[in-house]
Amino acid sequence: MTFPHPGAWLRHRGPALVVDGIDGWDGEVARCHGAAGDWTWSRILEGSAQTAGIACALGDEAWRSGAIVAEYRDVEVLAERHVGGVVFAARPERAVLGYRRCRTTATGLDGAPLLRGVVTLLPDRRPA
Amino acid sequence: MRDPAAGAFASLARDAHGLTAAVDPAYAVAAARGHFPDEPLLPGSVLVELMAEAARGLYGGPARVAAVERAVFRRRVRPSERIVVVVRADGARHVEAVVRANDDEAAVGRLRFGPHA
Repeated sequence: MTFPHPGAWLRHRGPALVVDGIDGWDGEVARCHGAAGDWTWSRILEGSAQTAGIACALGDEAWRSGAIVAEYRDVEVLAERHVGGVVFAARPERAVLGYRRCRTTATGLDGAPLLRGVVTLLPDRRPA
Repeated sequence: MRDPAAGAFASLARDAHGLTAAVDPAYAVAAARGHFPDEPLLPGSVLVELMAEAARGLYGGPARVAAVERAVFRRRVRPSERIVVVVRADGARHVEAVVRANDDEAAVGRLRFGPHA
């Protein structure tokens, strides 16, 4: 299976797009990666949210115009900073009233845990 | 690497209840770059980082974010708006935060801090 560039389904561009590529989708979990660099915990959180958006888009075409974050919950910051590449995983779970809750993890390339938590997304419906 | 939100605030004001931090408009514009080209908005992750940075001001020094227990985004925040972060301590390790945009409550959060490693 080939995957598009993350920018095909996310509205993020330039420095705001922190996920570099989609690596896998098994029908339940999406895997993406972020390039080697100096990552702060908030940037890792952003990558987790972007991966969650990609996971929703992989599972449902209705999510391919982008999504917005409605909530972060139970996010454990396991590393304040990380130098290197980051592997993101996101598993969409419950869908309630148009919102989609996703469980996310972020690790270094060596598997060291960096962050995990839950992000709830809403399909992006831009104001007129 | 410099903390991303260092220098984010144009002013800080303490009172008996907590701390109010006004976001520097130039910081807000830079933080929204690419998010999104046709509709600049501050990312939720940036709003959470602002909550954490304001909380560090409350603690008066370095403080490690251990968890974002909850951050709820009630409306989009544009970098052109007047953005203020209000934080108050809830015990020794927790902070309650509110982000206001043009006086609207745009986001609320509860963060837990831990000792530095």
